[in-house]
Amino acid sequence: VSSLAYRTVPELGRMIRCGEVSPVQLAEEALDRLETVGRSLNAVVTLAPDLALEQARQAEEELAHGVDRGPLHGIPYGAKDLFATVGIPTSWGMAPHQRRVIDEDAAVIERLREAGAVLVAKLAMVEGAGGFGYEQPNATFTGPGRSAWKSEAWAGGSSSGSGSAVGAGCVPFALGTETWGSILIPSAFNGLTGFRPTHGMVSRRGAMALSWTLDKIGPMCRTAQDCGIVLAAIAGFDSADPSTRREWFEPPRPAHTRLRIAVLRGAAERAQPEVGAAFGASLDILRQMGDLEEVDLPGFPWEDAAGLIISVEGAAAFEDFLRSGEGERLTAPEDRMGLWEGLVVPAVDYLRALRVRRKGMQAMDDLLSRFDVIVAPAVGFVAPLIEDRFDTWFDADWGPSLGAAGNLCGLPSIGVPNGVGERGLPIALEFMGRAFGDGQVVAAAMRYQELTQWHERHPAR
Amino acid sequence: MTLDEDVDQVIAARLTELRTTLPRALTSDQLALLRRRIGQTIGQAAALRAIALTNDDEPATVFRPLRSEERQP
Repeated sequence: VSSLAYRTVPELGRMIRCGEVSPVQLAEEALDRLETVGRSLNAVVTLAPDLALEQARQAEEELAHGVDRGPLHGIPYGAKDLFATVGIPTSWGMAPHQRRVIDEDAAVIERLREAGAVLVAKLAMVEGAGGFGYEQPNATFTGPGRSAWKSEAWAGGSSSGSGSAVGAGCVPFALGTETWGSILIPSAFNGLTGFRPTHGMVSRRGAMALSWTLDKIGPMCRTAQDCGIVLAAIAGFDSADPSTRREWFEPPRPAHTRLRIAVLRGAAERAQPEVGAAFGASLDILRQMGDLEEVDLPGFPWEDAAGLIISVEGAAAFEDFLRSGEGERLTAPEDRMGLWEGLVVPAVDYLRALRVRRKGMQAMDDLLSRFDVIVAPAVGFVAPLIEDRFDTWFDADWGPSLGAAGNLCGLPSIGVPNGVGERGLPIALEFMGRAFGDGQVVAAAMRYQELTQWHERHPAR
Repeated sequence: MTLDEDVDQVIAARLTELRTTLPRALTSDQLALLRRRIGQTIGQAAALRAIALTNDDEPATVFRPLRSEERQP
């Protein structure tokens, strides 16, 4: 294992500033690992060596002349292939768009460039961010994403390549997106710390839209501290994204004051035994951090509302694509008529979902306003095998979870490694907070990682 | 007519609309999957109707009139 792989952002920043490694060396190392390890995991769509080395040389020169853009200056990263990038294809994981270049940079790509980060690759993803209804890992033209821990296991989706590339130490961080599970699941399956910010924290300009009201962009990193650093670079107002707010995000310090922690009742009872045991052990750690109280989520049809909204907004966002017949060229057969059902949902049903959503948001905030964070297992099971169909896993009843309610309400959430499950695969704990309580959520996870070492484990690649 | 028959008729009607507007050949498996997915959206809408709403319960979207100078060039 390279001495540079698996380093955190602050560690690499210190090494750069001490002259132990240069941004160009870091970029070359990332490109090499992505070419070998990353490609073997189907994590890569396009490497960007010319851009990466140009940005790395610029960072090196600036730092040599005392121009320091902050903690990401000279740090390599990968971006899920749904962010537009000048001169590099942006496929959205979809075979019909494999060679398409959208000649603009997404807002987050611009912001990371301004922060001095070095874009080394566009990373693999499930076609259309999973919106077409895929039911198996083999649902993108780059092949099924493979877990950094065991290549016969799935990397999770839809930010598969972001998960496995960070998990395998190819890049210290990557950008992912989540409409419903697409950051937290691949982060859990690859042993990462992945953060889903509040909807409106990060501009979606230049990112593929699946569901305008549910899509969120977030960092997938080695630690909660790294997530805070990356979020600080990409968050903020953008007049081109009406959901963004005129507020900045400062990377928090670990939460050392005693926290009020809600525990989702029954969340681990039907999970895999190792997930349940790890959650129990995590609760012991959390008792050192604060006062715990078991709670239930307000009784709303969270999954139904989220599912209906995604179907309709996805069908609207992809209407021209659906009518063009290009869907026939998608990889997974079940995706080829994906989202069609959303074209024939009555408008009143969609609006009812949005009306119920507002009431749900109010009920959820009434609950969460009494706490700093709420916790639950991030996923009730470890990464499925590549050949598994999803009905075995995602359609099974694993008990209550935070995913549907959290995404429907646009709430911030972070997943952190908290143990080892079946077949030696990683499992994760989720911390979720109130809207725009991103700092508290990251701070709580940072404190948890001060008290545990699970985030320091990595595969022997 | 039972509730299930009612749902079957709604699925059939939506399927007819789709096959008119998107006239593609579908395999029997694809047709069955499409029926299932349409049925899911009908079930989702039914679950949402269990939540009582009043006339002034607004959707969770904010309509905000726009001035052109607020947009980036």
